[in-house]
Amino acid sequence: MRPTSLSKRSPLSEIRAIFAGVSVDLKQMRVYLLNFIGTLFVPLLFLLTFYLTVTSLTGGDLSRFHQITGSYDILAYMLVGYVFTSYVNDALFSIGENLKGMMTYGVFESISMVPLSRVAFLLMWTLSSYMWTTIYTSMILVSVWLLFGFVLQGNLPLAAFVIVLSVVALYGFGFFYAGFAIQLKGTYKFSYFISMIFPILCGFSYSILVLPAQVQVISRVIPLTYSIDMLRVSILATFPLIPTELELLVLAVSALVFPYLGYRTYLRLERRARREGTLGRY
Amino acid sequence: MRTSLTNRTFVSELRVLWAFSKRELVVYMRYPLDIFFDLIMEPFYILDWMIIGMFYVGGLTSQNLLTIAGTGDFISYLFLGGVLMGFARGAVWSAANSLRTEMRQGTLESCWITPIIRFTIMTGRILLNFFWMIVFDLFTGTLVYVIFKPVWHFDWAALFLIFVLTMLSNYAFGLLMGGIVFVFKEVWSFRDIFTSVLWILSGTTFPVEMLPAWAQSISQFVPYYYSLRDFRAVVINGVVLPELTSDLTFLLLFAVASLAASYALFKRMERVALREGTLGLY
Repeated sequence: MRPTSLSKRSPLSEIRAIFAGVSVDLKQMRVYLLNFIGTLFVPLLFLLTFYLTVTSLTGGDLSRFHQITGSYDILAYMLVGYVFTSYVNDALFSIGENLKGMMTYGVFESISMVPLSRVAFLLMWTLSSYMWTTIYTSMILVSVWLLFGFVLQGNLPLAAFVIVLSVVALYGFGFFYAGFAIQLKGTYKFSYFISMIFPILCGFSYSILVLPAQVQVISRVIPLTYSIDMLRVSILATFPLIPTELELLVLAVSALVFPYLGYRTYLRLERRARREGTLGRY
Repeated sequence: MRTSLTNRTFVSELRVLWAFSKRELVVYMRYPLDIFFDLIMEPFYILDWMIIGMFYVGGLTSQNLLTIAGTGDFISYLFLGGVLMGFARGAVWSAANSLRTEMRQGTLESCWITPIIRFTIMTGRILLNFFWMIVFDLFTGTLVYVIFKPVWHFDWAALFLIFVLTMLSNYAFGLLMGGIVFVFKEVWSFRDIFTSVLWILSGTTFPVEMLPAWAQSISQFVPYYYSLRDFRAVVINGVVLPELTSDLTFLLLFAVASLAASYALFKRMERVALREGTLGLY
């Protein structure tokens, strides 16, 4: 017999629920005022540190950089890497940390009983984070333009398309993390670890060509390597790792496969937690 | 006159400190994967900077760094900067995070009415972090030494003094962050800004000579500027203790003054939270 529900669910009600969730998140952001304002300055300080470190090491001699990438624009190179890292971190942290937070507050069990599809839940937990990242990415670009006169150029529609494909693929990782968070409870360190290993293996701040050949083999099987590479190709016209058509194909396939696999994994792990009765524990 | 049913002694405070550390250890051990991730994350964090250096420089020696800082060995330069500032970051983060966790779990208020000196409560939160940082950095140091084979010098007395005096400053910053958490609750972005500014002004990944003159003047009042300068001078250039007297004296003065000021600020912010009745809120 199919389970029945007193509520009347429709796509519109799911969308309303997602918006309600996003609005809760934005309210919480506003409540912690110091945190809210501070978020705007963190990326600028990071970029400044990065820029000064690279300049102190190279002394302005960018011949090696040019030889590998075909570009002289280190500021744009860093900026693209940083913006992309922000989106990756959203996928890694937002769902897992939201779940962990709800478990700690003791509300997860009751929230998980509301008549709402799991897809809506998972979208709700990440959407505000992605919105916020997009807002402060725009603010970083404006700040860099004001400070350095730097304007993002190149094939911007292609860059936007690459970001969208990558974000959709990253949702798959996010779904997987949600299930992982329910099972293992503490995922922060794991997310943190992944958020460190991906930039190293996928070359968020440098080209993977600088890595040892054995490590490059691993780098080349991770789709994020092609996301960041394709972003650089579209904005800076750097040398691509593989033909750009192939890079786009890898990203498109990832955007189709990962969310599906991640969602199936999440449902499986959540069911297991329900059976074991550990949903409300942290 | 304030009375208490408990008989507080130095030994009782030490017992509390032991109990706190034991509790933190039990919680940490509860998430066994965290220990594993922490152990490998520290080397990765530093490795990322090293690969960035190799990508832009194209070798293990930077001529520009040699001209500015007196050493071209940027692997050691970045490693030592990362190690020392890792402790600063750890102190600030552990104080803020442990208070936030207790706020979320709803146990801070009850913990706060126990007849224990605040100094002991805060020390209990920071102490274990120091211990783990030492373990993780020894592991990272061994890896860097084995892989890159740098030439390092060890004047143990000088290193011990630099370390102890730096830890006292760390403790002061940790106390300060604890007070800020009481009033503003969610402060992760402020915490990141705070540590990033310290990172920049201390010359963690680049020589402070890269900064404009006004910023260099401010650096003179940041204890880590002296800690890092001395730490690198001892390990990379083989400088010995007597040559560091003036820097170490400044570090001692700063540690004493900052501890007193931080404690006073901490008490003041705690009073604000108590008066407003927001201690248990998150």
